[in-house]
Amino acid sequence: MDIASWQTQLRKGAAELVVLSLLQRQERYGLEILEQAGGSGGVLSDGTLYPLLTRLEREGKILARWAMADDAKVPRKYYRLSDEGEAMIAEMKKLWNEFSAFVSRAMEEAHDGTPIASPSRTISA
Amino acid sequence: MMEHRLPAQAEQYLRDLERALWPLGSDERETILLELRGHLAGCAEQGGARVNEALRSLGTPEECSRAFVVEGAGEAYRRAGMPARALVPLGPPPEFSRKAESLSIREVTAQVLATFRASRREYWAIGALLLTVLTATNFLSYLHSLRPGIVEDIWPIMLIRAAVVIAALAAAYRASLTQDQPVWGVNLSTLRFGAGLAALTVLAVGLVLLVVTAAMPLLASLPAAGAAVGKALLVLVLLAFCSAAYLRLQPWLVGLAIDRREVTLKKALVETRGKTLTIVKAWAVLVLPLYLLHFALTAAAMNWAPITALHLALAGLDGIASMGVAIVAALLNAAVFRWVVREPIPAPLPFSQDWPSDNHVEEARARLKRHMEAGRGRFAR
Repeated sequence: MDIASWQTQLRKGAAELVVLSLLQRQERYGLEILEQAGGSGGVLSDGTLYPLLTRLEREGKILARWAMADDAKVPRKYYRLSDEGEAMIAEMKKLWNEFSAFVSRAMEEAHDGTPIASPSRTISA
Repeated sequence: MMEHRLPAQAEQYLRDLERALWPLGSDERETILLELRGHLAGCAEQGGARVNEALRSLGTPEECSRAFVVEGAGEAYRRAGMPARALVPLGPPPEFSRKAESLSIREVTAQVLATFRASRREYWAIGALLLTVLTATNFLSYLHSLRPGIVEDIWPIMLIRAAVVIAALAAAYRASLTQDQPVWGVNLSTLRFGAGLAALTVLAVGLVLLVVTAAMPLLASLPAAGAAVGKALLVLVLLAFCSAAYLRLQPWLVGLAIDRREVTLKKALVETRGKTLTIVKAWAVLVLPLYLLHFALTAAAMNWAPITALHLALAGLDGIASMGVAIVAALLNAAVFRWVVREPIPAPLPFSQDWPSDNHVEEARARLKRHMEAGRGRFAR
């Protein structure tokens, strides 16, 4: 696997987490999500966001409605989390924190040869 | 408000994307286009550079469409139990150019295939009916010719064959060109279509007989060999003329079958002007070989006495060839009908019921505008 392909896989997994996290706070439309995500390290882009939103909506994790904001020239599609999405993001965040802590620890401890506890062992402990 | 125009490159992108989103149902397509229009409008407020960045990020229209399909867009596919991505390699249905009057065989063949793909599923049943009836009547006609006494009178059988073919052709046109008309059943449209077909056939045969009869004194004055060649040439020229005229009038017949009577005889002739060569070439390449196979199989069967089990196989083969003639001719005529009335071929069923028109997005926007103005209070943030 080359580095670009690996990076793509990383971004793909993280994109869903970023979108759901942003929608956890408030209802947003597509461009607003992108702006809130900032550069997002390339996790989200104009090209990846809308297909992802379409899938999340189809899977029932987010809900959508059309609205015409006063400052808008065309209608916008606003998204918010569904109950299922709320439950999912809570679980995803927990797993992400454990996973990222594990990966960070793994990279630090790999130098001195200390055995690394897996996320599942950490959870069960 | 919604009449807001995007920068030219963004408008062009959405037009191309609309076409690239062909595997999706019209509702999904509308939603995606509207949302991206809103996105690009938002980007445009931040400047042309942001629009260009967004367009770059969206990728080519084909890449953007693929991204939606990969993420599972395509509700119609799922309802049909088929993955949307399975259809993507087929590419969108080709379009007859609105200006070009002459098309290559390849382009017409693509149209015929797209017509088949966009036809309703009943087409398979029409093929099965034709195959059964044509095989059976072929074998009965062999029996009539080779084993006198078993089938005394062939005309009722041939009349039934003709009636079934007429009903099947009418059904095929409805399956290809309509969504709401019942495919099966003999109704007034079927009768009109049958009468039109019979009238044209009688007219063509009558014309050939009339001209040949009128030319007989002249042919008789020639030497015997010359008279035979002259008569054959005359018949061939007349047949070619009648066939070309017959093909040009097919849109009228199709219109009768699907109750689109705005396609009159005159309109069929006027609108096929300049297209005759394309239509005749397509018929010669797609239909004529099957016709010739049908004649060859019939001749082989009729000259192979006594009748054996082989005749049953020949009847079946001829049934396939004859069914091919009817089905391919019906598809070609349906494609020509769309060409004449300038209607695009829809995306393959069941994936979409309609192919978006040029002003599809504008229509969708206008619809949404009306909808939102009706309930602005509900939509206000």
